[in-house]
Amino acid sequence: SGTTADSTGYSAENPLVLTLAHGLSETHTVHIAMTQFADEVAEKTDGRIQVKIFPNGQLGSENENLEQLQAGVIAMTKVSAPGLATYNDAFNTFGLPYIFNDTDDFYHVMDSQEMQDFFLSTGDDGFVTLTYYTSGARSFYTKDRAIRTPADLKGLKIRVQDMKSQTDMMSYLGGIPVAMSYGDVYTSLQTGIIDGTENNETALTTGKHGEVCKVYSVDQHAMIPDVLIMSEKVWETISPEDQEIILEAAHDSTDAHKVMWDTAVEEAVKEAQETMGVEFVYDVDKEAFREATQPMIEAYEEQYPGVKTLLDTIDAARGEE
Amino acid sequence: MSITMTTVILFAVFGVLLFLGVPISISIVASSIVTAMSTLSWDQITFITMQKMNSGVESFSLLAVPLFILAGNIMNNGGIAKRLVNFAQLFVGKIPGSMAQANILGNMLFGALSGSSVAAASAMGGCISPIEEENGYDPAYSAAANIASAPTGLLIPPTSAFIVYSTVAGGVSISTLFMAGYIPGILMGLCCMVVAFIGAKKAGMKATGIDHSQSIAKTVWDAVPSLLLIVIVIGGIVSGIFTATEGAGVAVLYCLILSIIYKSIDFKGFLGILLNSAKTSGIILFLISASSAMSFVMAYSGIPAAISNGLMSLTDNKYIIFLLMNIILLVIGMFMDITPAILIFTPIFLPIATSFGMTEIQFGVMLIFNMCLGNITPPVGSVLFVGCGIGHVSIEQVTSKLIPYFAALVAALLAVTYIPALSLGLPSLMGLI
Amino acid sequence: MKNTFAAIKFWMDKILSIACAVLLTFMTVLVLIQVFSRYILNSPVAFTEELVRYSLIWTGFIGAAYAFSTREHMSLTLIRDKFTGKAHTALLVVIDGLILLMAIFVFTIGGFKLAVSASREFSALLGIPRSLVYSIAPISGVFIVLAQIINIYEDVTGEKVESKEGADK
Ligand code: NA
Ligand code: NA
Repeated sequence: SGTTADSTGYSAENPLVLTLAHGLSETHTVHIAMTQFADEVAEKTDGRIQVKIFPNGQLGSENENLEQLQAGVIAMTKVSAPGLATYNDAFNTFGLPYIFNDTDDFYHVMDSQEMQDFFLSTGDDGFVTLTYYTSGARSFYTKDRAIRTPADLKGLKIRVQDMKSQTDMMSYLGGIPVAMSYGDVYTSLQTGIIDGTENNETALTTGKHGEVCKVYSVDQHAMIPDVLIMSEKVWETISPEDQEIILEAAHDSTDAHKVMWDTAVEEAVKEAQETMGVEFVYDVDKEAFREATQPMIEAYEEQYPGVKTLLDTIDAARGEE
Repeated sequence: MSITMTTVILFAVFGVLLFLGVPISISIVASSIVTAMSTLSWDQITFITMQKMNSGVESFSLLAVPLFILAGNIMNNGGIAKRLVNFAQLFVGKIPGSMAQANILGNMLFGALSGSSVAAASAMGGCISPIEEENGYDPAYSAAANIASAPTGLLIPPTSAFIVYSTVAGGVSISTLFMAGYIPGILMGLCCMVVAFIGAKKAGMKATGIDHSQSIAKTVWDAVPSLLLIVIVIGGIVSGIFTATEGAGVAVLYCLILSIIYKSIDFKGFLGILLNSAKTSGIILFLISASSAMSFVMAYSGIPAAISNGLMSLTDNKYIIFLLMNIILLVIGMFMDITPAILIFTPIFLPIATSFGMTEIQFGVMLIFNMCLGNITPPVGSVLFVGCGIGHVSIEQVTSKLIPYFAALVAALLAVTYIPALSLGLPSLMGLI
Repeated sequence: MKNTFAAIKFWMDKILSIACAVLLTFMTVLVLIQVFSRYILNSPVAFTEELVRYSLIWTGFIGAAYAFSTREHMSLTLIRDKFTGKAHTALLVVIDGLILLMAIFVFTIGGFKLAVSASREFSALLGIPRSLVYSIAPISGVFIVLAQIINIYEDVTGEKVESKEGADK
């Protein structure tokens, strides 16, 4: 890397190399989408800007990657959106249950101009969000028990992601939250350390959870997007034209990822049903879940001013329909 | 700067510091820092070094390491080790060189519990070598048997080596690794027994028989609580009653209660054990911290990819690649201790091994088996040092007696490398994979 | 000079060893609480995981500082011990000097900067400030600096500084 302040000063021989670290495997759809993003950026800048991807958590956990981004060791990272709440409390919103009505609503809001403006407004917090990637809707699954209403969760030990919003949600729903790393979930399910967990459908197959859990209740309590962010310090050094190219490539990768994701989920459901014998329960009382978690959303609006603002923004994005 | 240059700088600086006698942890950090200087600013380097040194040990499962060290030290002082020796003697008493056989069996049992080869070597060696001396054993013969078999406990679960490996390998299932370690660990013990038997025959040693100063029933009865620990800890972990870390905590509590019942420990003694264990843990945790900094620098500058490309450019025959890996690890193991070696070489070799179809589980077993050899090979090996110290022999004396053990163990290592069923048979039988 | 060092070493070793032993006990108790709460109380506690992770970081740094003071870190002494006389002394000073430099510039200053930079981060469950977690690196860095100054004094003078509570009468 050189000392040029403007990205136009770079050439294919002496490119601006942007390191992008993330924790997903190279077979994950989001990794593939980001590879496409990297290719498009290189192509449209004639090789002046190169995105170098470090997958598999090679450089550390999401929190570490965020710290590294702030320190200027890496230029970009992909994290689960609520992970950014440390730096900007509005990102707590994405961890809340039933913020989006369904997939169409989710895409409509996330692709809106309002959301894009919010994404680029966080420079003071040290980063800007280039785009998001869907990771579907999360639902509960257990060895043999359907979860149709919050009452079905009562007393069950459910693994959740290690985020405040996720443990809070579980408490509001009446289950017992157990925070553990994803890698421990399979054996813990098998041996009964936990009674169930929650994730999107692909965890049944890629994580082999479907070998143990035979009932997947499609309650779709949360749609937590991944976000691709860049260090504000790096973003500032990029010329407006190149910024435009990067944003366009990012949005293209988001659209491409939607298709890949749908296919991945479809295949996961098929494989889970046909070869693993997982039953999908669709007659879930979503309204009951939504009611049970409504106080949580109010509490978060009270506690985090950014959440209130972003929820208003989301409503505004819906209003233009 | 080219990747070759970066790799050379990292290993050259590391090697020079290591051989000058700089502590391994500091050698690791210093060489990482020097390597990072070509790409990062000083502030970024100190930031990333400190971040990695903090997060390197920020793992719940890693707690099992200090807890098993503590449990092992309590056992060592609590009369539990002695009872295991007496029990083992029941099975091997009629064989020539039977005390050495008891030592090996004792190491397998004790090592199984404590997961520390050094603790096993000192506990078993300490109990048996006086008796062996009395029976006219050659001290070098006794020490070699003790040293060669002490690392079996690193393979026979529970073992902190697998937990360390699982952490660096990115969360490989610990219970599966534990199951996978059984057969190779027992194989290692059996190899030692055969070599010790042949050595005793050649030297014309006679069977010493079973100690009849107390009845067999009493020896068994005395050993029951110690053996029960194996059942509780391993049974608990494998059946999922608790995690490996929790199992380690239960082991500490159990050993402590047993030692109190045996009246072999008092508060002051316990305080000493606690301090000693905490210091040993601190040294190991700090090494793990340092290695995470090195892993980052290696990943960031693309060194593992470069080494694996270099290795694969030599040949694409997987049998030769696995052989090369083992040779590199054996050479490294002569000089480096097991924990840093696991931490440094897992990120380099695991991706190569998996790309040739070796599972993460089998690779882990192969790596630890290889490292067990490093633990006992001269010139540097913690078990080697402890075994020589306890057995009152020099490294030169014991080395000639260790050679047949090396030969047998290398053969066993190759079997573990090329026969996946040795590692994967038991876990798949139990439905873990 | 030597007496002052002896007193510093005494208190340093005492503080570090007690801290280590307390942390190890604390972690053992935490993990037992975890098992106990799950089976006996049938409601698993969640806070143990975070506390254990942070205690491990602290144990690593404090244990390391203690082991620098007692010179027990693993190293290859094979070649080092072949040197004799002034060359041996010089080598020891170089080694201990390198550790001292690392302690000052990386552990103490670098660790302090990291702790400051993490001031906005809090743990998910207990809200423990990340700065507090990270602060052990500069703290132990200061202890390592002290330990290394005493070690270098020992190297140069060839005298062992035995830790002693007070100065000689
Ligand atoms: Na063991
Ligand atoms: Na060795």
